[in-house]
Amino acid sequence: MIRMQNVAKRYAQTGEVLSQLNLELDPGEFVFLTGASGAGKSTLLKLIALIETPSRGNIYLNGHNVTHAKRSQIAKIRSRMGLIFQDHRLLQDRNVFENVALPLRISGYSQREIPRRVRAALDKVGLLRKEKSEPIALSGGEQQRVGIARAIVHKPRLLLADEPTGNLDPALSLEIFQLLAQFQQVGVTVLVASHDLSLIAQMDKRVIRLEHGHALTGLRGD
Amino acid sequence: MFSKALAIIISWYQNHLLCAKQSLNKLVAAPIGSSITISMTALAFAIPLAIFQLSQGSAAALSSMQESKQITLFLADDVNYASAVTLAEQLKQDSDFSSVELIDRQQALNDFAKRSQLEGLIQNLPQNPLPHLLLLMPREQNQGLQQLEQLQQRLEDLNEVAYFQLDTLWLQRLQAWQDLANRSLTIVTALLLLGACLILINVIRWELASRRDEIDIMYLVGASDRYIRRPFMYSGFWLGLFSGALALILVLLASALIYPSLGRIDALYGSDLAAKSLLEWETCLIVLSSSALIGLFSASIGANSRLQIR
Ligand SMILES: Nc1ncnc2c1ncn2[C@@H]1O[C@H](COP(=O)(O)OP(=O)(O)OP(=O)(O)O)[C@@H](O)[C@H]1O
Ligand SMILES: [Mg+2]
Repeated sequence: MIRMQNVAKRYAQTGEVLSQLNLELDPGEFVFLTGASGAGKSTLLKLIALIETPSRGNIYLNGHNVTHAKRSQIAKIRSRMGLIFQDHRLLQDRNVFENVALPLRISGYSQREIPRRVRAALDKVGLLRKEKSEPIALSGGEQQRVGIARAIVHKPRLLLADEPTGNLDPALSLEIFQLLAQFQQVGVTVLVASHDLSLIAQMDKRVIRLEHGHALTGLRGD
Repeated sequence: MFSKALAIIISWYQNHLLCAKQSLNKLVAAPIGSSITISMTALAFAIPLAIFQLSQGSAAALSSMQESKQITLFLADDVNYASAVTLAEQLKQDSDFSSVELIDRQQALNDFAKRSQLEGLIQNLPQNPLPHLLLLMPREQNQGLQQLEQLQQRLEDLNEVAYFQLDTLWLQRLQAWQDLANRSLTIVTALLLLGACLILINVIRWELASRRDEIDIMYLVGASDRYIRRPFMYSGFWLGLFSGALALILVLLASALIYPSLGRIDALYGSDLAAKSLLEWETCLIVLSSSALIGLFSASIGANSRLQIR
């Protein structure tokens, strides 16, 4: 599903954040990405989501080299994955329904199809009754679940989440992780960046730790 | 297969319709900003349109002053009345002329005698000094300078004609003035349309800047440049279209105000300026469609200039 080969990323201001990074995720895998603050977890996810381009090395998605994908291709590739952010990134001027419908509208789904899929996604995150609410009227956990609904509404094969539980209490965080794990069960590849090691330990999934710009893989959370 | 393609087309159409509606709603939701933009752009459209309308009318009025277009053919002395009639008939068949009038030399002499009260003197002349005359009026489509010069060429080749009078100098002058007017109108129009474009480009750029966060989120969710641009293109389309409509209304109002004065000029000159000052529906269609196109064009420039940044 994801393969990164000798990938390096340097920022002009900060210098090299990732260097000689190799990483491979199989389809249907659920993987946690950990590391100290500033280790490059967000950077790694941005590289996979084609938000940033690597300074060196190659990135393959589904066997295709996407390292130098064109702008129009990037939009297409990104519209087939699901992205979840710590700060939710919801559109404040639209209600929950419209927020979740956004990826469907971008992909040109018909007006008939959209409500059905949006309600299915909202049902999955347990927010069916909030579809008319404005994002500000929701709690942090609810907003995060709207973000998750938006990320999965178009049934992506790959789900990337950057600290999805950053602002939530432990019970709620575990709930979100378990929700994400459900998507793995239907075949979605899930990559979650988090530094909440005690929660990760409870999930019993593969963990990749970033250290000095390298990926130390295969470790378990304990 | 076919039904799948149809479904794609239908949903494409529905999505565009929805987007057009949402862009329209956004304009209506900010009535003050929208109406200021529309008014400014409408003025830029209305001024050249009004000048064009007026200059068209006056050009038509000037060229309707017919007398000076008449061609007078002086036939040679040895052309007798019968051949003069034949020539007149021949020219009448000709599609180049709308009217051909033969003035018999004898009749001309009598008229002259009567008018000048020199009958006694004239009767004593050994022979009629006047030639037969043919008065030709070129058809409307032949009244341009070029066509008249072609006619001139043809008439010079006629054996029966001794010489003829065709005053093209005034036409040349008129055309020189018209040329000046047209060029000035073109320049003014170009400048004002450029101004309208700049206003719209600026409005769209501001709109984009104010929705930067929203746009960033849409990019993250996989929106293409075209998808991001679409609502702004519709905004530009609506702004242009409404500006065009307002420009038409302004010109209509203006022509209603000057209508009485035009009527007076018409009465004095026998022209039809007043009728010509009315907007034809073709003109309205052209104005509306080109203003909508200008809106689209400006929106695409405004949006692209912002979106290329990232
Ligand atoms: N756009 C950028 N320009 C310059 N430097 C950047 C940029 N983004 C990240 N960095 C730097 O890269 C390093 C890694 O940042 P990154 O956000 O990937 O870390 P992280 O592992 O996600 O940290 P955290 O756990 O705090 O979120 C940091 O030192 C950061 O300052
Ligand atoms: Mg981070």
